Amino acid sequence: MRGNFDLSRNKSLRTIETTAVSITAAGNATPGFLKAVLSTITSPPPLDVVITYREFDVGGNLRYWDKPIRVQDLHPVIQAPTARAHPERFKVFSEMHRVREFRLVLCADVLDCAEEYAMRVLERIVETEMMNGGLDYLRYEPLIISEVRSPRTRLTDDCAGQRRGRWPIRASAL
Amino acid sequence: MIELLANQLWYRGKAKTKRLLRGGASETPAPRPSSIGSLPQELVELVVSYLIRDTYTLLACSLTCYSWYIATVPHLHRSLTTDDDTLPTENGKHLWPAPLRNSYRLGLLPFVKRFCIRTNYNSPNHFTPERLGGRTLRYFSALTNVQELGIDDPDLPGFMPNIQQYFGHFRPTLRFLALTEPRGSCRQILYFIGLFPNLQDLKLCYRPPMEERESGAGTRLVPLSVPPLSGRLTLACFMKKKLVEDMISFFGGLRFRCMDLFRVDCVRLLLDACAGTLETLRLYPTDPYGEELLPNRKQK
Repeated sequence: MRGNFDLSRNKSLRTIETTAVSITAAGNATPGFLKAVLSTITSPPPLDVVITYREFDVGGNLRYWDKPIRVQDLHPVIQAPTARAHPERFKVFSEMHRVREFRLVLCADVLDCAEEYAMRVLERIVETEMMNGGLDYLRYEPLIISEVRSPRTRLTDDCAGQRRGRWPIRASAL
Repeated sequence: MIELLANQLWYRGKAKTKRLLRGGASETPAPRPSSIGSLPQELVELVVSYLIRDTYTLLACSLTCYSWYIATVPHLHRSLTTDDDTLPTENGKHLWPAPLRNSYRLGLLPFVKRFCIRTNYNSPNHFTPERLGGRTLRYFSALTNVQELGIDDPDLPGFMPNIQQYFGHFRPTLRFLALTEPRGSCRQILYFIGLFPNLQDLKLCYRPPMEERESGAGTRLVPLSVPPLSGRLTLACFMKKKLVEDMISFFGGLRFRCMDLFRVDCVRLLLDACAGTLETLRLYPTDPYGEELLPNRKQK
C-alpha cells in the first residue's frame, strides 16, 4: 500500500521543504518520517532539502512594540533549548542523507529587521557543525539563504503547521 | 499633491523676492536649491526600488518632492488590510470599512495590490454581502488592481447568485487567492475560484476541528473559467476531497508546481494529480497524515 507522501510518481521534484520548528516538535518521529518520504523519491538528482528557520528558531525575539520592530536575543532560559535543538537537527539531516543524497539549504524566513541576525546565527551554527566534522558527509557546503518578509500584511505570513504567526502583522505595529 | 506643489512654488517665490530686495547677489550666497527634484524619474524609481521594504525611509522620501512622492506612493499603499470589528485595534483605524473608505477618499485604492479582510479567530461574524452595503461596495469596486486577495470566513452562499457583482472587478488582475474557513459547498467554492481566470496560487485554510457536513447547495454551478493554477497550493486542515476531485474534473487536472500541505486528507490524490508538474513540496513531520509512513506509529 502506498503511503500518503509517496512521491514515486512525481518525476520533476527538485525541492523538499520543511520547518525547523516542526522537526523539533515531532521529536523522535522526525527522522523516520523524512527518511520514508525521501526513500520514495524517484525524480533524478539534484535534490534540495530546504529547512526554514523563523526568528524564534535562531534565538531571536521580535520586539513588536518597538517602532520600527527590532529583534533581540531571546531570554537565556528560553535560548538554551533553542540552541540545543541545532545539533539535534543536524543529526536528523545526517540520517536523511543516508537514504538519499541532497543539498542542504538553510533558509531564514524572517522579517526584514531580523534578516542579518538570522543569517549570522545560521552561518555560525553551520561553521560550528563543520568544525566538529558533523557535515563531512555532504558533497557541497550547506547553502544559507534568506526569504525576508516585509513587516506588513502578507498572506503567506502564516505558516501551515504552526499556530505562531497565525495573524499577519498589523500595519499599526510599524 | 497640488497643495505640496503650491507650497513649493510659494516658498521658492518668497526666497527669490527676498534675494531681490537685498539687492541681488549679496555677500552671503543664497542656498542653492537642491537638484534632487530634477533627477530623471527613472533614476528616482531605481533609488526607491531599493527601499521598498523600508517603510520609514519610503515615507521620508515621499515628503521630499513631487517626483519622489510619485515614485514612492505605489509602494507605500501596495498592501491594505481591514479588521473585523471584534478585533482590538487602535482607535478603530483598521476596522471595516475604515481603511477602504479612507483610501477611497484619497484615491489610493488603485495602488493596492494586496488586500486582506481579516476576522477574529473566535468571532461568529462572517464576511457577508451585508458588509458591502451602502457605499462600501463602491469603495470595494475601486480595488481594480488587486493581485493578492485574502478573505477570512467568507460566506460564499450569501453572495450567490450575484457573486460576480461583488468580486467581478478582481477578475483581470487576481493571481493569488487565500481563503480562511470559507463557508459553502465544494461546488460553490469551486465556482468562486473559477471566477478568476488568471489565478496562479491558491490557499485554503481551515481551523480545527474541521467537522463539517458537505452541503449539496449549488450542485449545478459550473465554473466560469479555467484558471491556470500553476503556482503554489497551500492547504491546511483541509478535508474537502470532493473539492479537489471537482477541480481536477472541471479544470482538466491540476498543474501546481509548489505545494504546502498540512493535515490534508487527500494528499495522495493531490500528489498524483500534480505528478508531472510538482517541483517543490513543503511537508511537516508533525503532520498526522504522515503517520502512515511510520511502521511503529498507530494509524490515525
